[in-house]
Amino acid sequence: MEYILIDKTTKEPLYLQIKNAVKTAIINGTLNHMDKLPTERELCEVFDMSVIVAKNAYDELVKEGLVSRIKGKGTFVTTRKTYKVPIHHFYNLEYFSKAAKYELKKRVVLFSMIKYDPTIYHLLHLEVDELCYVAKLVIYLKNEPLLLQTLYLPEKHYKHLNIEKLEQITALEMLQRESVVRPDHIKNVFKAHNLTSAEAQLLKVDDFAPAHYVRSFVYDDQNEPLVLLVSLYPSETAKWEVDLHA
Amino acid sequence: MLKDKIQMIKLDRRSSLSLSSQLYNELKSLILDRHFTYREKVCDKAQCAKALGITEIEVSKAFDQLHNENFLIKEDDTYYVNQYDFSSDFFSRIVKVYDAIKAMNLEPSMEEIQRKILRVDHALSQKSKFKVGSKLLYVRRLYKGNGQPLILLDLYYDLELFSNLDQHMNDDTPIYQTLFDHYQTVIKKSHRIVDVVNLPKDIAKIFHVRNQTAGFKVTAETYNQYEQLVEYTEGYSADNYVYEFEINVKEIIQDYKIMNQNI
Repeated sequence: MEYILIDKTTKEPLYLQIKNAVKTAIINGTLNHMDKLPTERELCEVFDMSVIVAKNAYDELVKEGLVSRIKGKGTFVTTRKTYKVPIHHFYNLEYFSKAAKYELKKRVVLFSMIKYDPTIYHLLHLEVDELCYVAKLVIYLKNEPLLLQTLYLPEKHYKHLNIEKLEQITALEMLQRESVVRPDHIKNVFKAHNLTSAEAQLLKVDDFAPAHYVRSFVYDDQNEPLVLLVSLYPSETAKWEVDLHA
Repeated sequence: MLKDKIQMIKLDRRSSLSLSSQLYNELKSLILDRHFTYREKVCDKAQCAKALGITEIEVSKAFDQLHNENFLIKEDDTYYVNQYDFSSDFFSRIVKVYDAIKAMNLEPSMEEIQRKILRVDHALSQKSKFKVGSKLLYVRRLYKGNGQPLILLDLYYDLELFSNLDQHMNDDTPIYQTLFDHYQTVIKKSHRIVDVVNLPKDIAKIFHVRNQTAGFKVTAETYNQYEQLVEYTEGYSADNYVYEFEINVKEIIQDYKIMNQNI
């Protein structure tokens, strides 16, 4: 509880001092998802205050959705660290890992080959007799799911694809290293999305939770689509930041 | 739906795929390729069936599936396209809401829902950076395209900087124009956070969508030429709203290089 500092010489109400200290600790990463907070009784003992004050502070935190009381166990941090990422970096997952000072971990949950899917084939300009890989990846940061990605990778550009490769390098890097096509630009469409229960389970958030749905097409310089990626970032984990100038 | 769009639909009678599935795929592709404008009417079932030489039941099947997947909306048995996109300008420069709506080929209009003067409390101060106790003008405006709600804006202005703003603000002049005309304030910078939330009841109602539907929430702090905070806004839009953002692969490579140097 060293992240709480109570200064009784200021006018700021004690319950607010506790609340703000805990909130700051969550935001700056001192406290992580599912960390246990001191009990109200412990707060009273250390900071010499009444139980009501401690209770008020925790009530406020519960109201803001930052912590939850679990019966018989105590009060826990139930919010995730939210990464505010400049929009120009959103595709660059290294940015998240640098901000967290932690390595990203990728886990493939589905790897398969589709023979024909009218919408996907149309979007990627594929012929009926061509093949296309589909992979679903969950990407973790600090052992918490950060995003869920579905990749549609035409077999003609990804000759020797396997699960290990998918977990090691990005689809874009694979194109640059191993194929003859030259990726030139990426078009991204951002949508608001309610997660289905399956998606929510993989991302460890509540059913129907709000998420950023980002559909990204990688094109070559002739404007031919090469790859389609669909990424789901729960709003709990990521927000985009942008500075505009007039 | 115009004739030229029906002509773009190709059905293959020898295919093992049913005609309704084919129509579904073709229409979905047309929508995804943005051949329609937002709220464009899809021709009625009988017309469509006649033009394509298939039964109305098959047309219904295709339309209903697209309706289920939110690509179409249905009103009194008429179907409208439910996808639209905002110009990529959103992520690159400050644009007037009206211009953005015009860029979508829609006729812009605005309805002011609420206007009042308020004092900043602790909660508002935390999110807006306005000082606790300062006096603000709060305005809630709904911007529409072809009469349909698109963007809801909650706007907050510091009345210490803009005394009597309430009297100068009118529906016909863009707010930034008013700020310039009466207070010589020039908008210089806007810092935005783009988030996704499940829309609360009152806002979902304004957009005619189900309670808790996901929508964008964009908060913005806007500064003038003296780097004073002149405006704080919270903007909402519903789940049929999309933003586009394009990046160059060269920029990505550059970005990786810079990051790796820093590490």
